[in-house]
Amino acid sequence: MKIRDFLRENKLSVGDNVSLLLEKLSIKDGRILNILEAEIGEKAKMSKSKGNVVDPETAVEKYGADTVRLYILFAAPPQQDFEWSEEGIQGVHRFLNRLWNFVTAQEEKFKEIHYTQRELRKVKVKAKEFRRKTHSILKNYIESVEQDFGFNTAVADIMKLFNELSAFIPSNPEEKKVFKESLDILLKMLFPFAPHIAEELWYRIGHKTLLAESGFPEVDPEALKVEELEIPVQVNGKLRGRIKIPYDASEETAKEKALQLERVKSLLKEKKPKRVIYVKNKLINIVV
Amino acid sequence: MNRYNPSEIEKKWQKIWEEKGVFTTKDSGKKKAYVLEMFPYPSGRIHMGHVRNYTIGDAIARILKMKGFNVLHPIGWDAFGLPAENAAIKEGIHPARWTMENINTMKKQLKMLGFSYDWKREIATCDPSYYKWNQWIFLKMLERGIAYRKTAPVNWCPHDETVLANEQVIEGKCWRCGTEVIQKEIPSWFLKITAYAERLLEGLKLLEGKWPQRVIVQQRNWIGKSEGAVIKFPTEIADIEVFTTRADTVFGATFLVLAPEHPLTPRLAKLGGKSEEFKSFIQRVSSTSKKERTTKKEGMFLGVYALNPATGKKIPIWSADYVLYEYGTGAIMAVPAHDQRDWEFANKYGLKAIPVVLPSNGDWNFEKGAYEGEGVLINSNNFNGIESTQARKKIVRWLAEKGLAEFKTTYRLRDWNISRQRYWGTPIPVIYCDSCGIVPVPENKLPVILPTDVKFTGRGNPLESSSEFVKTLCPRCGKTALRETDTMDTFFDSSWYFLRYCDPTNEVQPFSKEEVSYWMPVDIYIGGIEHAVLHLLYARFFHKFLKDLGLVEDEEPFSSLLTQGMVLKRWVSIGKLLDFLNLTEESDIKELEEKLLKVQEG
Repeated sequence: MKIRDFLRENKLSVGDNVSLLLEKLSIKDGRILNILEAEIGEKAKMSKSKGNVVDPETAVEKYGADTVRLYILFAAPPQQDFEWSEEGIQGVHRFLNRLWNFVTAQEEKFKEIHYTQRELRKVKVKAKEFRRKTHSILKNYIESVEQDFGFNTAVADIMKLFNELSAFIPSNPEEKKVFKESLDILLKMLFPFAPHIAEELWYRIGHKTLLAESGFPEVDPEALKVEELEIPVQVNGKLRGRIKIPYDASEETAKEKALQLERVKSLLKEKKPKRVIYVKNKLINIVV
Repeated sequence: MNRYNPSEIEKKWQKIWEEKGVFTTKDSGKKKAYVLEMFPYPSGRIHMGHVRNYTIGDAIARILKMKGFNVLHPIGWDAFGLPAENAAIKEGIHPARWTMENINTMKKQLKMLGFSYDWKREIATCDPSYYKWNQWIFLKMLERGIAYRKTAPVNWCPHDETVLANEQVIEGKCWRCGTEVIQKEIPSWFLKITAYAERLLEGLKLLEGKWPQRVIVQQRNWIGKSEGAVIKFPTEIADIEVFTTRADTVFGATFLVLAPEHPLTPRLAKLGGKSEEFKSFIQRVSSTSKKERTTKKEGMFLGVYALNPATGKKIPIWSADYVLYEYGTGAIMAVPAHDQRDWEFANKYGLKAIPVVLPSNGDWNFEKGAYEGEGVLINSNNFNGIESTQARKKIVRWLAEKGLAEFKTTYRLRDWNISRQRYWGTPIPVIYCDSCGIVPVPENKLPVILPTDVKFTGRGNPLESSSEFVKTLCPRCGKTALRETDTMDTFFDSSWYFLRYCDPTNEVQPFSKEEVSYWMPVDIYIGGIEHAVLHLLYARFFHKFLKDLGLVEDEEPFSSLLTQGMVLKRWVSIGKLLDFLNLTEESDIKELEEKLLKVQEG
């Protein structure tokens, strides 16, 4: 049979979406359509006539309203067009799943952590550095939201904070307090975009008031200050002085500071150090 | 630990938020924030464009609420309009039922998405408690001469069988169905938006930096202010007035062109002994679209002459399709040397051109086209050597002394024709009485309710088939009279809905001044760019009118505007697939199937 006759028989025209043709040919494998769309697909506004419509209700049933909403905001700045992609929405859905699993796995632990602003401001070293990261991400988030509705970068900030949070293993009461504060902040950041999951997790970690009524997160300027600490400087294993460096400073930073010490300069006498042994937040040893 | 189950927790919190009235606006001493998304037309189901619009708005509303603002975030339905009537014609469902069913479906869908609307303020424009106030506003406009009736050539969509506003004609076609729009003479109700042209223009300055520049520019161009002069060209029977922004070129005006619809045109043709020719000419013109008219440039000499007031010489009078009666005075002085359209017309019909402005560098080949720029005057008697921008003023002053010119500002903006020969809209509250003429329905008789006993045949206005509606008594003399059967353009409904949200259940007023002065202006308005000159211009016009009535305080209704982008998706047409596989419609279907399987194998 000619293609022309096949189309006529099935009430199709060359302007119709190829998915209708695949259906009539009983080709059920969705991969063919994916390949065709990727290779020769054109971007177009969703419309019934082109058959490239994603039905919101179907999307909500499949992924939930929070995923649909978060994806739409993450995909592009509000003023710009964006191309709907199944991989894109699945990525956002995976993120919410990871968040859900992370929080619910330790919700009982979170419930038992309490903090006051005074306590948070007094934390030291690792806890302080973690708190600094939390608040600097929050600062970016607030700037994104307030400048020209940059919700896409705001969502990226939420994901970044989640990565910090999930990599942090608190081991003392101070660290637990900043850990909980960070999660509280994350849920507040998430609430305007994916309100249901944020409210549910907020409830699960023991809050008695609604997240909807708990206020907007605020940056603590104290938290943004970099924690500094003193470490010993050795030359060939012997103590020659001390330097002040930021918490978790890189080897580069520590080395630069150490080489500026007068004692170290006179010992090295223009010679280049052979080797540098640097133990983060503990000591630096210069071998000549 | 339990798995992430969105549907379970989403329903749970939607219920809790609703029961606790978390998003119900309460009276409070806090600072207000009014977040508004363009309300939807209840077409059937929510689409992804809606979801994007409302997700953006909801994020903004929730952030402001968290920040401690007293937030107004309402939703409603732009519920009148043609699709409901088409459904009635096609499927036999009453437009009211079709609309209500759609509203129910879409409301359920919006709730499923968890938007933080204050549902207690929901409105639907097809509700008599809403459209009553459309009618009330119309009566106020009638009182103040802002609404008026006239017979005029209107844009007519032959497919939808209704009038369209200028803003609804997109490149010569109906904004809804894409049918070529034609001109037709029909008595219609107009709103004098032109009386607000200057204020609409001024107000745009307040929006700089807060609205997208693109929208501001589109509105400014639509209003199209031009400062120039009206110059009179005397003829045997009357002076022909032309509007020009280039009075400096009047010495180069070598002929006049009148729109075929200009009232003087048939009279002049008769005088020139060209009546018969003119009749067939105007017939040809009226069957061509506006767009075609400006490209074809068909014309005819009327056989008579006018005096060029500057040179005192006789110049021929023509009529041509490229001059539209609705713009300017419906007549132009043609200066072929300095206007490209006139140049093309003169070239086609062998009319002469006299250069009167030379560019500063002195060089221009007038054989090749018109010089439209500024420069220095030549061939202009006492004005030779003067800079064209200066000469404009001097020449108008000189002609004005002789009573032959005056300075004038014109606008591209036209009055808004709101008459629709349709059922599913707000009835225009007017009665026609043989003795009293046009009589407004008294305020205490509002609303004029849309009747339900009408027939939907697909032709003409269904309201005319309801004798119960049409036949009434004159409120003035008590004799039998007829009701207006035109309904309002639905853009009337959406021009003030944001004010009704501030006080949605008010039964004695459209809204109370107190509520509106607290909530307005809208702090952030979110919607599509396609409304740049339609809804957004009409709403600004209404707001200014309502300010003149003393009902609102602000000059502008929307402090800031966010126009969201579109949601796109990739697609492949059958034709494109055939090209890709090097097949045609003549190829065999088996071959197509084989090649498709190879695509999968890569």
